[in-house]
Amino acid sequence: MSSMNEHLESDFWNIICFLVVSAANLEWEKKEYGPLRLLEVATRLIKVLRDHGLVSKRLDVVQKRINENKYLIMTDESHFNQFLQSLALELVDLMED
Amino acid sequence: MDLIEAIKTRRSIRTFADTAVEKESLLELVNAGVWAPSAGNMQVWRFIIITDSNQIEKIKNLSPGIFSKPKAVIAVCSDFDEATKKSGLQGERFAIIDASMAAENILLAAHDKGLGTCIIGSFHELALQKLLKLPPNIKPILLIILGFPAEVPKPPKRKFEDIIWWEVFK
Repeated sequence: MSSMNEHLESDFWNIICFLVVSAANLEWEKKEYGPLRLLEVATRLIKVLRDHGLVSKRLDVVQKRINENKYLIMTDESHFNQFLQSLALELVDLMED
Repeated sequence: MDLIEAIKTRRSIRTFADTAVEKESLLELVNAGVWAPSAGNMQVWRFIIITDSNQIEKIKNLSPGIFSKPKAVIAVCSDFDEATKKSGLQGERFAIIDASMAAENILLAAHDKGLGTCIIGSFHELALQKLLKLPPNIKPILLIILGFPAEVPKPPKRKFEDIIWWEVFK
């Protein structure tokens, strides 16, 4: 495996571990952590893509919005839910024609 | 640092600067931990200190509650066999309470040293037990991730009303 592929494999390995353990843990964790874990995976995937040379303004926007708001789950769940809904709507603006 | 000031200014720190934490400091933190109260003086807490970055990466992969890469992790564990031997059916409950009190001491001692910490409860217990080579009787209760803070969040509001009653619950 080339060194770049090894790096990519390692980055994806970390994400796969996160997904598997998150799925296993959701059986007993509070249900609001489900969306949080999905958002976290989204930001990690965007980071991997950027690290491997993919430039995308709209992905950067999504990542920034998630990173700025994900911890609302710890302090204000209703605000967190509002953020989720607004991010879903914002995706429409970011869609290309 | 004044104790009440330390209690009120400690925050859960989730992102860390790229500065190593001295092993000596980590030992001092655990030393603060073992001065916590212990039910029936059981002292069945066990501490695994992890500083190796590869091992931290593996812990992170088993702990969805860890969002960034800490410089060190202290796994606060309890010996449940010894707890049951010393305190019977109450042993397991006491072991968890003791581990939590030790953890709070560690958090405050870390804050006093300018270190940031966060308690992590979201991890896969059995997988972590396997990774840390813990025997079946020693279970991880919680993880403390730590390092020098990269950012300090604002504190969430604390409730004071509707949580306190005098003499009896009303």
